[in-house]
Amino acid sequence: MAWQNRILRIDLSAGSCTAEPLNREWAQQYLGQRGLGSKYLVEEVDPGVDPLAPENKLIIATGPLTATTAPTGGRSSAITKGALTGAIAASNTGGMFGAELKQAGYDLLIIEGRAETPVYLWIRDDLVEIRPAEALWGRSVWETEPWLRRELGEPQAKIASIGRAGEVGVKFACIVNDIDRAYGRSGVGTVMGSKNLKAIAVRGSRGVQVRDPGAFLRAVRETMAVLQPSPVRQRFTRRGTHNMMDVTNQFGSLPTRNCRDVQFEGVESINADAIRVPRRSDGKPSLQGNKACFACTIACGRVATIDPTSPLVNGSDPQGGDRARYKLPSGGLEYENAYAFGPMCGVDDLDAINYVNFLCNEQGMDPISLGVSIAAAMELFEEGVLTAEKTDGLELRFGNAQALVRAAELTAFGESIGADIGLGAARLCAKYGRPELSMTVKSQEFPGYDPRALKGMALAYATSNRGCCHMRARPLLDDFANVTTEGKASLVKNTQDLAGFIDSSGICMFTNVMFPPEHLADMLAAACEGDWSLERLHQVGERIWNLERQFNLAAGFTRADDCLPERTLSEPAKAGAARGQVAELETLLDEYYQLRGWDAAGVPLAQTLARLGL
Amino acid sequence: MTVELRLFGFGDERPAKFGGSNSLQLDITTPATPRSLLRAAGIDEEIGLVLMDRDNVIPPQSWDDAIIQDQQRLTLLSAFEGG
Repeated sequence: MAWQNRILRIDLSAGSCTAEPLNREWAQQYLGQRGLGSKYLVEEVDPGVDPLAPENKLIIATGPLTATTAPTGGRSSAITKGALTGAIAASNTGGMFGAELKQAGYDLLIIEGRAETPVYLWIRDDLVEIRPAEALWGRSVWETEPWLRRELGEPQAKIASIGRAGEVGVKFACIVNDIDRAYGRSGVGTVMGSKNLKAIAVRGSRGVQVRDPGAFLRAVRETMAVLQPSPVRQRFTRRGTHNMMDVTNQFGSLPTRNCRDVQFEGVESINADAIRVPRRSDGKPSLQGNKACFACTIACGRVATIDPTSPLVNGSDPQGGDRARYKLPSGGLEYENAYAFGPMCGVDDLDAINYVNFLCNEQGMDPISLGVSIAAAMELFEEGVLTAEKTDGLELRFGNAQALVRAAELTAFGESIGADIGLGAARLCAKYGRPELSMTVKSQEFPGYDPRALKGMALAYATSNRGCCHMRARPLLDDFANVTTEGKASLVKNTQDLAGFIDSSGICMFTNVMFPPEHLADMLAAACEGDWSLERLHQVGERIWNLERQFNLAAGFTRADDCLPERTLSEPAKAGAARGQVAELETLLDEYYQLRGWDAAGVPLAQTLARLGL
Repeated sequence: MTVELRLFGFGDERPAKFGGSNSLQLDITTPATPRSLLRAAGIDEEIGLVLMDRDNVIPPQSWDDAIIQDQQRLTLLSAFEGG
């Protein structure tokens, strides 16, 4: 119950599609989504494999609460060996796609091999077909989705696809679903592109059964009774995650100009208030409204427009297309994309930032990685390492909005300096002999929280199994209140385990500050067979963390990869709550390893693995 | 005695006493506790609030200590777990 007890295996090399029973024992140990998908990956993929080889697999995994009425129960994950990082990757998305896949009768989709020519996958309950996609190759996500619905005669089909970025091998390409939601991080779209898989279209008509419908309904109602009046939920609904920008800026933890600075003087032009200010041209603000994912009452997603008089939405684009498509409302700014294109690049032009975000949705790029990689290129340019000759005349300087726009366009299509930016910041900076300018961990780019001020986040970044990430642990509120390393190792460890089971359940991580995890335990207990007490869920989270760690160790990662960029360890913050301070890591790392039951090299001890059944 | 409180991260959800501004001059008896200052400003909900004195965070465990002085300028951030 709650699980569909069926997985779908697609062998693109053989051209076969096979339904198999779900391994129920693994579901009891790893729940679903990130955890269960990781278990299948670890069992089936050699950790040493080239991420872009046919032997790597791409797993789309739902959770037991996906497609149920559990609040925010529309989540799914893409699990693979990440093209950007070489580490285990699990990218989480909302929208409608994951719920539709579950309703088609599958918990997981395992995609292996490589098609000889571009293909797409069509799933309609038991009907599963690998179809030719030559006509789609070269098209954007925004073209692919309507094209497929027309072709299939299924206006309600839900689609996940890659844009040009995934086709040309941008290392941080993502898989976009429902036009503007994405399996965003670690290059999962690059892996999909390497398999010549352009898109997955799905239509499901099966329901999802829960173990005890009456108890489940009660658990959902009790959760909603806490969620709806939650002040944090209300703030998310009204302000979105974008609200964070004023806070991090004032606190001195807003990464700015490739982490040279921790505050940005242009915040007021691009913050959550700026998107509400009516434009002179048409009297309308950039922000048009909210958008919710499946079964979500939070609706933190934003819908935005660009000034209709802007050159960005008029005339022709560099490929000769009509820019008028960018006049339509689409997925708007949230905190991370606004930070990455704004402060990190020193840009305070709201339309330019919105445009580059649209481009990420249209062509399938991770906005965090794109913004931070462009910021690295800007610093290389300002340092004289990258020259105008190399950039074809593009003045890649901090604050140059036109350069941001053009660099993003070139990256999406793998052209000129964009081909280098598309390598990601770590490879870009290494290529030009300045690896210290890469703001990355395990080759994945920084989210919008500077680790000099946020002491727990520093450890969370360093130890994240999928490379630098702000969602793998939740130390933020404590970090704001307590600028100290005291207690952070324990906090990070515990919230990593918490995130592990939330990310494996089918609901959204944001709920963790809106209702206590006991509610999730109650919903799971009513929906699924087995013991889903909170204590056991924490053990599931810990098991997932150690499983991911083992994969990474086998892939060649060591303690030396649990690190932070040298800049954050040696250049003190110039302002804010950590003025004069650098990030502190080594002592925290020792304490963290000890709490995890790992040795000093970061390797899980035998008794730890035995305790977790690994 | 006067204490200035500046808000960040509240947007248009500022308490009524701020009257549409992000800054408020409060006439209170000093030394005052941070918690009494917040109450005087019409702020009852404390989830995610971060109080700063210039660049220094006043940790929540000190919010019942009488540490707020006359003419002090404080910053209040409304934070929640971001994405």
